[in-house]
Amino acid sequence: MTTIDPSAFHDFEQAGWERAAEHYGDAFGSVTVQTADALLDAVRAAAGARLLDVATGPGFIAGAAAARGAEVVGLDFSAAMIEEARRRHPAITFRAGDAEALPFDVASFDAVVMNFGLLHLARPDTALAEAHRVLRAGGRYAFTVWAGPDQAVGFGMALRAIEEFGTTDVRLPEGPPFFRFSAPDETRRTLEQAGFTDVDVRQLALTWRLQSADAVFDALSRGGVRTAAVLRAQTPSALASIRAAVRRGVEAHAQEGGFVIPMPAVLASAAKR
Amino acid sequence: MSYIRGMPVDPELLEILACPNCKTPVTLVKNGTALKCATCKRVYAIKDDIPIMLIDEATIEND
Repeated sequence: MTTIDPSAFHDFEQAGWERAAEHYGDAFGSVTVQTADALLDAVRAAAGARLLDVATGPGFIAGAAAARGAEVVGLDFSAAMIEEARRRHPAITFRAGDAEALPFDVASFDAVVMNFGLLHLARPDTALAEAHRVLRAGGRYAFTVWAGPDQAVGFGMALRAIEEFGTTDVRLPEGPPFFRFSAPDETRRTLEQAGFTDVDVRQLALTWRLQSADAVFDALSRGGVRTAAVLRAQTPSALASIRAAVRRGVEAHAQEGGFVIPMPAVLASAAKR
Repeated sequence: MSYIRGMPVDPELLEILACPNCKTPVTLVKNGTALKCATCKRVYAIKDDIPIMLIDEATIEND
């Protein structure tokens, strides 16, 4: 069994997002924002609801919640992301803070959401417990993660290409499994362990519409952290082969003059009793 | 929720802000440029109107 040093992984992700912040929106924004309505419906976000968007990134969900009239606070541990979020949503309140140590009092929010944040955390169970703590009784929590790489094919083709042409044996701080919460049973178990009830787990059919066959590789190498670091650790020739393989993978999804890649997500929601 | 320039830490929001380490209330210090936890004495800077509520970036300042 691999030993995980949560602090090392936490710092690796935090530093990585400082670098990826300016690229994330262009890289993944067009697909990650597609969850907004389902995520906000799952926490019954309506006008006047006090809503916390954890790991807000460029503030996509915070913005959608504010458009519904919710009283939104967006939180991210990356100063560069907060800057990005504030640039896009100057009227929304943002705070620099950590999902694993929320800077709020108990029962401060009616709803807490996290869009594709959990898979970047060193201590996801702590983050769920923290979300539970800051929710009022009767409040609702929801998060999204990517479906497994066999279904979220943009990830699948990249991971297969790295395995085939490169190496996954790179010196990186070990983190929790990226697709841990893609498994509904694990998600349900973990939410219930954090004290949540009324757990619902379902899949959202997101699609990544791209103009360039290199867009998946570019997104993964610039707009993220963990896969980007694995890619940076490859030899130049391995990297060229990986890039070509991912391009061929994307080209298999040609449609309407561009490319349409299935990128389903798992939406989990629950209530605090 | 109002955003008033020069007074960015909304009093209502300040009420729910807590020390991420102790979860106890923080209060404005240093002419409103920082937030301090009375329990662990951590001081969280407010940079460009954004409270930096990160334990690793706080300084510990005893009274």
